[in-house]
Amino acid sequence: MKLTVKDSEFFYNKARTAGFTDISFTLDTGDFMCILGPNGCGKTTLLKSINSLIKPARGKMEIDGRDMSEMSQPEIARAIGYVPQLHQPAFPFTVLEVVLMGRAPHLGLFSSPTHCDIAIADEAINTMGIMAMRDKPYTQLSGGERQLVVFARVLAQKPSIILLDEPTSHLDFGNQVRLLTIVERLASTGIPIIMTSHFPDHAFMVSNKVMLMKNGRIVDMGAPDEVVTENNLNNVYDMRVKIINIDSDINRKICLPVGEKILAS
Amino acid sequence: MTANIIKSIPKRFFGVIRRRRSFSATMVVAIVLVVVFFLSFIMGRYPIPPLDGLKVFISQVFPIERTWPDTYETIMLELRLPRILAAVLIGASLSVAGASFQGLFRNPLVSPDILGVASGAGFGAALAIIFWGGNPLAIQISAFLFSLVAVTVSYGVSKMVRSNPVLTLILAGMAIGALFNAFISFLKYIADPFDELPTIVFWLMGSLSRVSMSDIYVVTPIMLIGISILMLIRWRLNVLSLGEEEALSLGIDMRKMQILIIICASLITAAAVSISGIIGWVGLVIPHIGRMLVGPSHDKLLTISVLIGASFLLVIDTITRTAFTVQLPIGILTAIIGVPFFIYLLSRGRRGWS
Repeated sequence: MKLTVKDSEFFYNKARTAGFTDISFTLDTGDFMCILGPNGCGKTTLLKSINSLIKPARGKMEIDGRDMSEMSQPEIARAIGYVPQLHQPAFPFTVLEVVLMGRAPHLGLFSSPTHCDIAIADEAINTMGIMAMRDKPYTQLSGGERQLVVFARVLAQKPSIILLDEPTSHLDFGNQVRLLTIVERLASTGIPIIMTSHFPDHAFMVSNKVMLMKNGRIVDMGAPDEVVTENNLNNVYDMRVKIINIDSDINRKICLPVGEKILAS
Repeated sequence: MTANIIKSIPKRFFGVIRRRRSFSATMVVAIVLVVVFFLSFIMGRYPIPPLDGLKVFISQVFPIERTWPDTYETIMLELRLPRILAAVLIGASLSVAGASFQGLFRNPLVSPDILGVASGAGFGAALAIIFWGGNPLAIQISAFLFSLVAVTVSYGVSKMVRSNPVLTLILAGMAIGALFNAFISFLKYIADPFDELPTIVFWLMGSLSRVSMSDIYVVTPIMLIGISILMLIRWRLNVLSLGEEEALSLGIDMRKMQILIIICASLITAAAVSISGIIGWVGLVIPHIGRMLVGPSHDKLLTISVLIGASFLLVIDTITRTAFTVQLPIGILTAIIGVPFFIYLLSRGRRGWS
């Protein structure tokens, strides 16, 4: 599985304020890319355009050499799974019903899910470890639990690439980290993942590639250690950030926002 | 080990029951519909002994000895049959259209006339009553056509706005509905107050008393095709109710589905309204009752909505025929009987909405 994005561009308005431009990258099997950047830098817009929810104005996107602009929406949905930011659905569907919706791109216009689809959904529910909630209303679950349900749905979709839009937003301190371990479990199946995040720490914890964005452009891209640097973060977030290496048994870098950027430094 | 298995038996048994609950609720409502369907033939201002009623049915299929007066057959098959079929078809149509629209628009306050169908039909009927002498066929055709005009205009207006298609469509429908209501008021104002005005007012209240068998022949194919298509795509309504973007990311083209659902739901509503006048409340509230019984998933919801809608309108119409010496417009009773029933169900605490 290989995703290639070349010279992609999209803007919501003519003033070219919200959107992205000159985006090029490739993603291979086993890759986990984390997209970092301030609010409104185009992270979510980029994810949506990779899923063809919005059509890029310029550039080319290919999955395994196939031009995505020539693929139908069900074809794209079979190849790319998208987990949007958390929200409340209108109806209190059960967990199983929500996960079954992941089968939609595999079903014809007039067909409903069969026993086979239910088995696939159950398997996905099991993988996410939420079998106990299978018949509960989705709306009565906590934010963290709901995120797991949507992960199960994307597994039932059986895509070749998974896009996660800020999966840790709305989650408490502990659940954020718990969710990241589950995201790692998703990644360990070999499915390439692109995840947007507001926390540079997350890049160190799960990814092997980082894209740093500002004002719709790529500022830097590469391995986390090379991209998530004090200099880069200062520049992107307009704030002084300190990166500290925690040794001992944890052995990981953490990012510490210090405060207003000191221009003189 | 054995003790464990024995202990788990009730759990397994009730586990099966729980999973079958929606199925059994649907079965119960289906049986209710069959019973009500038969009872409605023998009930009315002129009651027919059940045994004779049964014999009349049987005599339609098998040649049996006639032991009943001919009037029974006339009453059952010529007077009551068209009304009964109309109640079943209209109740089913309005309920399915309401359930589909509520899912598509993700809004519990949506009814089948959200896009102006009822107002358009009312305008068409009033127009025919004043300018084409109130010929029943002219009223029906005019009501049907103008209800579709109202929906088309609503949809066209919503397409002029690019953002938030769902909300825009609801707002456009409300605006066009208000416009046609103003047209209706104007026609009422210029109508002859002794002849035309009462006809318009009665038409707007809705009634099944003027339905004839030839009406049934015309609307049945439209309704069956519309209901069938909605039934076939009913599972996809679940995905659509997640919103445009999520549906698209699951490979469903919201815009195409939206047009298909609007066409089907509007056609069956227009067909219903054109022969019965405006019957409120059914399309709004039957889907809610359905959700209380089988949950929000549209694959079960649409099936049970068809059955509840048909039974409900048939019961109401049988009551209007039986309990009152004057023919009360059915649009009045659907609310007077439906509202307390709905409030009772609400108080039981199963809502089906988050």
